[in-house]
Amino acid sequence: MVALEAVLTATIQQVILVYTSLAVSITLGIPLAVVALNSHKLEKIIITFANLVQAIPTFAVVAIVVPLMGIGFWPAIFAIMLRALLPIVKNTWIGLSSVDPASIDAATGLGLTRWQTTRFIRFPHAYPPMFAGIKFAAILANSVAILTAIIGSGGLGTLVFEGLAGINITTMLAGALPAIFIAIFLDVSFTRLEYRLTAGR
Amino acid sequence: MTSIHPFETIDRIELSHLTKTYGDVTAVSDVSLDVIGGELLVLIGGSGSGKTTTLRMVNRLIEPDSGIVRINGTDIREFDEVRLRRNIGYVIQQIGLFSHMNVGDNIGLIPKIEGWGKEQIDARVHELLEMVDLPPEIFSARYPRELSGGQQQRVGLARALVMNPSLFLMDEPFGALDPILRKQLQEEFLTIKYDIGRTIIFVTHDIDEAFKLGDRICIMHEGELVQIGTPEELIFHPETDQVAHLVDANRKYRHIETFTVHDLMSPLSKREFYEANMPVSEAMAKILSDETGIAVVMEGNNLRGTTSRQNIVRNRKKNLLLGDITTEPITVTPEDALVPVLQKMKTKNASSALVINREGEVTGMLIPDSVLFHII
Repeated sequence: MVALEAVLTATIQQVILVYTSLAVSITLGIPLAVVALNSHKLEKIIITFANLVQAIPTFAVVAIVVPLMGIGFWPAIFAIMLRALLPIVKNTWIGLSSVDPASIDAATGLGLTRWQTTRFIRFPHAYPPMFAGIKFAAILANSVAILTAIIGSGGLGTLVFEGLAGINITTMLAGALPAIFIAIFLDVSFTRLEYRLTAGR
Repeated sequence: MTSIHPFETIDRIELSHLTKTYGDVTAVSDVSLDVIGGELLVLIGGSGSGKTTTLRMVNRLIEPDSGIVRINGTDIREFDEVRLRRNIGYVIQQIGLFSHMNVGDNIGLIPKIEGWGKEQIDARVHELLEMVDLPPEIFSARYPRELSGGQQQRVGLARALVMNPSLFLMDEPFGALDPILRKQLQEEFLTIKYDIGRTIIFVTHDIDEAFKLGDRICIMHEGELVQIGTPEELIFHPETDQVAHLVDANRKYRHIETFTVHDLMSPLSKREFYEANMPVSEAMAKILSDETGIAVVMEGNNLRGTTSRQNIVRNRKKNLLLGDITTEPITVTPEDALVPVLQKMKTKNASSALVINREGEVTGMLIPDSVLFHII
């Protein structure tokens, strides 16, 4: 039997891991998308980098962080962020850059500055793909946060790996089931948030 | 208003020796011309003639490689480009309405950025929608995708008017509309043009539109200015064969003497007939969905008069019947010769005449623009 308290602690750790890494990814990803929009050179570098990181197996990403940052909470956040960044950067960038050129031409001609065009025209247009990216990133973060248990991040992965090592189905499920519920909760809550912020269009 | 106007009115815009190249392609080559304050100057030419490039150099969307644009004697590079553009209305063929904003927000965006209060913005949006004959209570909250092409272009026009600019740049604003709607919007634009009394530079590839709207017409070809002048000057004194071909005076007017009204009138459908005792508010709902925008008002079997969409929209809040806002139309018979009728219409400044046959039935309408359309 697994102590309920251990499951709760692991779940809270898991939630903190997911939301912290997601917050870091959003704070970093959206500005990166804006930078990519405004410079062709940096656009190439940012998008190529994001794609490249995506191509590395998740286990390798987690492993590569250890020699760089050691083990523990922050190295885990960094590893999760590397995974979660791409959908946010890429979707935001696609949303920002796929605005009807006529709208941009009209906005510029009416006397909006570059920043005002981004703020008032491009961003509202980019909300739907941006939210889709964030939602996907949240679910990715949840699954990577299971793996980072092997580098000492805590979270539900601890129970999953413990269960795997001792071939203890109960322990394994005690880690896996809450993770599934978190995934479902993330999907539902972000879908609702997305709907509320883009309603009427 | 918090905006600083770089210029209040336009006395003269000088384009001098403008050149712009893209790689090996010369888009505009040494173009010089003056725009006189208060006129509507049409830039006309085929694709690649440099007309749009020339237009876009006036609000600095394109910077010339060489040459200077001066407004009232000041080099426009001395103005802050954002301030400059907010003082120049800009309307394009693709309209470019902001799809995520409703009509009111589209029009009110620049005032909002300029820091106007909400009430002030609402009042201005209201005023402009009235001006372009879109009842604000219906249209202000609609989204661009809920509008027809013509309605979208009216919103585009209202949006361009919001900061009360003294200069307008219009790049084929009616180009994407079907011919009937285009004609109607041109008519309405002419009345607005006199209302607002602004300087307008207007790009088109349609010679009929140029003749209809332009005080002066500037013909461009392959980046060069070919000839600039009034419509009459271009027809009677074309400087090159190309201009003569474009204005094509001979072909257009050769047979006109032989026509009667019957040959060129537009038939009327049942939709265009209205009862005199219909409330104006009810008539509005009907005419808003109607392309021609003219209502023939009947009292039983007798003709009461005609009225326009504009007239109906403007009177929608007064508790009137349609019969109260009609005017007496010019009436002609199908057998009348065309030219004297057109001359009569011109002297009375009428945009249409009703055709009534010997039995006293209204059978059609004569619209000078569609006459031109048929002859060419």
